[in-house]
Amino acid sequence: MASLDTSIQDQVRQYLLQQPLGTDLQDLANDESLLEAGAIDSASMVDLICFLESTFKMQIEEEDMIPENFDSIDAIAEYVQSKQ
Amino acid sequence: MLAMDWNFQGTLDILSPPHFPVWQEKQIVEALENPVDIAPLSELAQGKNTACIIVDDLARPTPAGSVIPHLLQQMETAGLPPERVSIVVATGTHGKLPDHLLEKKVGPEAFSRCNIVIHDAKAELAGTGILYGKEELKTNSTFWNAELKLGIGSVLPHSFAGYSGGAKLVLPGLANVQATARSHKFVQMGLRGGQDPNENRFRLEAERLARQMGLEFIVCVFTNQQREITGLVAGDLVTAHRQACVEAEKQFQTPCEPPYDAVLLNAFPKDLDLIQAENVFVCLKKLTQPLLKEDGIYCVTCAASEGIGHHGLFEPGGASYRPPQKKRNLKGRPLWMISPNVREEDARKLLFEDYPFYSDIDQALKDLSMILPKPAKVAVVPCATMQQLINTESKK
Repeated sequence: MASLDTSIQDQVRQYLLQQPLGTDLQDLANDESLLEAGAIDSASMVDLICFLESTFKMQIEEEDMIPENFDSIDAIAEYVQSKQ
Repeated sequence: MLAMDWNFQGTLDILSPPHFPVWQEKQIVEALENPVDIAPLSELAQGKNTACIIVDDLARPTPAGSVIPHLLQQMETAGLPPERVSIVVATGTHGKLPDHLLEKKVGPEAFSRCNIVIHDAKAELAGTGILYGKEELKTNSTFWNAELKLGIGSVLPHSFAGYSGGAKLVLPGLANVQATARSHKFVQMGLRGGQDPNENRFRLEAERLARQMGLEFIVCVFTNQQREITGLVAGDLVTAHRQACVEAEKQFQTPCEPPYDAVLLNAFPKDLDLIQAENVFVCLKKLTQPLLKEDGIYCVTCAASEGIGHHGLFEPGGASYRPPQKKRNLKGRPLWMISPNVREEDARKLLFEDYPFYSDIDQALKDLSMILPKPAKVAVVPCATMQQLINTESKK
């Protein structure tokens, strides 16, 4: 895996921290499952995808909507980076 | 099923599912002998040495024992005796079944003559060579090795597959834990779903994979409140299931006139254990206006004769388990859980701490009567895990 763009990781982290999740994400590791940490669910996923598309000026295709691309900050950064 | 005796001041709407006549045995046989879009079983079985019939587990109401003898008879006519037929219980990651319940599920003839296998998602499974995500999809080896593969399941509204039954018997029913976790993850992340089976990506993917694994012939069953068969569609993996979904919409659609001050959602028929009680909320999916008033109360009743139950992913310690939280889909409304066979300390492993729990149904109803407005408008949904509530004005 190529080294990840830390600015993408930071922006995603900041976004997640701003969400009203009722879960403390301060200690969330970059490779930790967002789903298992309670950082995302089916309702918030739509917002996360909108955030990624608008922030990184990208279109997330339906076939890319798989857990492997979104279930950790690292996975999101790697996916976004692969599309840039 | 729970019984209750409740006196309160107001209107009580019992929102029972529509009545459909119970099928006679000859109707079942006729449907099985005339499958949709596929040759009859008596032809499919010719020249085959082994067969596998997948059945769902007791978490589903399918009276498999009323269907299996006819399938066995058709296969035997083609030269495939029951002794070379295996019945695999597609438990997914649910718990195992004790023998007495297993016999109840498959019927005495199959229980004594067929090879009965309960799927164990954690056991050594057969590699399929099919990639699912980044890993190989594994499946039950008895199913995988059978030359003829069939499935029997109930078609009920389902929170993420649209409807149950069909290909879902194989994924997640017979899959390994990792594949099951991945399939559930899609849904938890909102990446699948939708009631329309032609649009539901979970369903479409499961069908593609099930076909690749050789599942050809399915039986889709509908049951009433007594678990009697009120409809059956047999046939091709996809087209029979689609036809069954259309029928399911008719069988389970229930008009109602919200908003209510309280609604009692009973978990029947998925009320064997508390972990399945969550499925009551599937009955709200088609409503176009809230079922409850702003300050209304959801009460979930679940007989849970087997206690809190097992689910390899969602039980405490499971890969997808999370400490119970407030349910966002209830939009801040309270939820009362009423379950007479479960201790509160066990229920709390699944139930958010602010939600009241009762093991005494009479006490729950008494307390509810105290806080409801007078007069109150209350609804009971007796089979909430299979009903689809619709607003009266949207009834077709």
